[in-house]
Amino acid sequence: MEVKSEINAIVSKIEVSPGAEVAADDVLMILESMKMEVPVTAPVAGRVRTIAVVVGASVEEDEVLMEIDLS
Amino acid sequence: MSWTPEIEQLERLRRLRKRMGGAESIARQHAQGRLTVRERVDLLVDADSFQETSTFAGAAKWDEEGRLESFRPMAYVTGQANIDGRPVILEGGDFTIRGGAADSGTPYPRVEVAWLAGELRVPFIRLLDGAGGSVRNYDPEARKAGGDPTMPPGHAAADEGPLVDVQRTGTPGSFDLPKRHDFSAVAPTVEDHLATRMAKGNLLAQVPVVAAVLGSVAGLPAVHVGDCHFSIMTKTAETFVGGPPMVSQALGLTVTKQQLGDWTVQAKTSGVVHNVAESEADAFAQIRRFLSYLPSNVWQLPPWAEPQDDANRRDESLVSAIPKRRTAAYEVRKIIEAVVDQGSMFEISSLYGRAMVTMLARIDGFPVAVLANDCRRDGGAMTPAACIKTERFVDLADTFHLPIVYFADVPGFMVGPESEAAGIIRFANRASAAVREATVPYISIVTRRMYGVASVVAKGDGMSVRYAWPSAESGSLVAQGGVMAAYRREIEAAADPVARRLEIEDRFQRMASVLRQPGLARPMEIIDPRDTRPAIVDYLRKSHAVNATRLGPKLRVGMRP
Repeated sequence: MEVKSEINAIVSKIEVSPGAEVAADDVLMILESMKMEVPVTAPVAGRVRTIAVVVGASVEEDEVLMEIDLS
Repeated sequence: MSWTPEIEQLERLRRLRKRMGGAESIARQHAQGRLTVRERVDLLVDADSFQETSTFAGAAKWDEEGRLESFRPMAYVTGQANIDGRPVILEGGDFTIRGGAADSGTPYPRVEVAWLAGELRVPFIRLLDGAGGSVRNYDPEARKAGGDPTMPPGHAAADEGPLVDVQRTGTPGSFDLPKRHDFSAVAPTVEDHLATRMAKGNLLAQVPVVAAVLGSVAGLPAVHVGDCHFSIMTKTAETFVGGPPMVSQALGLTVTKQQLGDWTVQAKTSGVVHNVAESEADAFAQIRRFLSYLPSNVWQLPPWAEPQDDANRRDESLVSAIPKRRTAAYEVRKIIEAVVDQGSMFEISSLYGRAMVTMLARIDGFPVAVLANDCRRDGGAMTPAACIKTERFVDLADTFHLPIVYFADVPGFMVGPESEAAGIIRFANRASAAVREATVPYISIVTRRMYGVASVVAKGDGMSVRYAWPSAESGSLVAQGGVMAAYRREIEAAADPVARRLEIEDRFQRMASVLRQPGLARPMEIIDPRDTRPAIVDYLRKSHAVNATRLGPKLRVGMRP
């Protein structure tokens, strides 16, 4: 399952690594937009397959941030 | 001697009418994943409540024996029905007949039903599918040749005999221009007040008007998309004032219908359409939901419903809803959910002007209009789009007497080249004016930031009340922006300018707390966030009696900035 950005922002922190088990609503990464830190949370429980962005990258709305395999 | 033969002919005509543009056209409509106008009406309204009007609109030919020879139906279905037991008036474009094109036969009956909605003071719903006028309508040559050769021929009504003629028609030289509705039959009585007289002819000032975009909608029907209180479209529909051929002619641009006006254009970028539906059934469910919060007309109060939720419910999540870190964002919809009656949220225009959330909901059974800044979008700043959305939503609430509940966390109007070029100064003024003009009960909850002129959305005059949470802070501008502007010389002269700036900022930041300077936010009271719902319920109950004495159209004088 793809986790997409809801906003145009800069990736300020990534809280998980590939392979990590996550529960629904866990914080996956923090995006920064207009000086606000916007958490990206897991839509479902699962295992992180890939992370598509790096800290400092600017992302656009609907851009894929990471992929999660459903557990 | 009786009129039975004539009645039989009329029944026959009615049956023909129900066949719309014929099996072939209906199959084409279905193949596009779209329903026919009659299927739409059935899905929208209460079972067995639809009473068709102007069934016979169009042109029928009768032979000398008084038998029906042929029938050219109007490309619109009109009628009365009930939604959740309340009367509505509706019209629907019939795309299976000449692509739903307007012709000289159609404007009159359609204006008549809008008229009826005004007279009966009930909601008016437009199910739009079809283009506006066609030049074919006033081409004498095309008429002489027997109609538009590009249109499918009339279909034979096998067991019925006469042909249903689906060719275009029209009076040469006539244009299908929009008419203003003049409800002359509803002459105000002496006891009607001034506003009623002034609202004459203005349907939007009197009853809820809804438009659904369900196919390709262009021309006059596209104008109707904007002439309403609530519009919705499916993801397979489009709307534009002029379609690809016209764009190509006028601008030399090659565009698709989708590029011109699908949901991403009209519901996200332009904001002309409020909501997007996953299916036509979903569109009708949302229309019914929208109407459930509104009175049938402005002379009535919004429909109160026995609440299923405890008026004094104190939601524990509210204590920690606002993060302690000032820069940490949160989902404001969770706060709204914790405060309003359970299951009562209906978001309007969620894809446009997203820094401001607008929702219809219920609190203690009272329908309310909820405004909330979303700090996850544009930092919660009032962008031009957020201002336009706020202005329209406040007008909607004020028109239909819905109390407004505003969750304020606003750093100000949006700064920057993009915002200025889009006219933020104008739209900031207009949003402020709408709030100022509103006379409905207005309850603001300052949850975090309330800065600058944008804080006028937390109304301070009229029938308003303002509460603040301990997390609230206020000022004429955010310290981080203002300190550098006001203390530039001092900061630049310091041995460590950055440290000096942070030091001053920190000093102002602490001063901005509502606990230190409640006068800045001017709350009536600083409350425990868990007491928000009981506080709102208390004010709603008390202000309700006053709200009930202020019914009728809202008198708006002069012009907005």
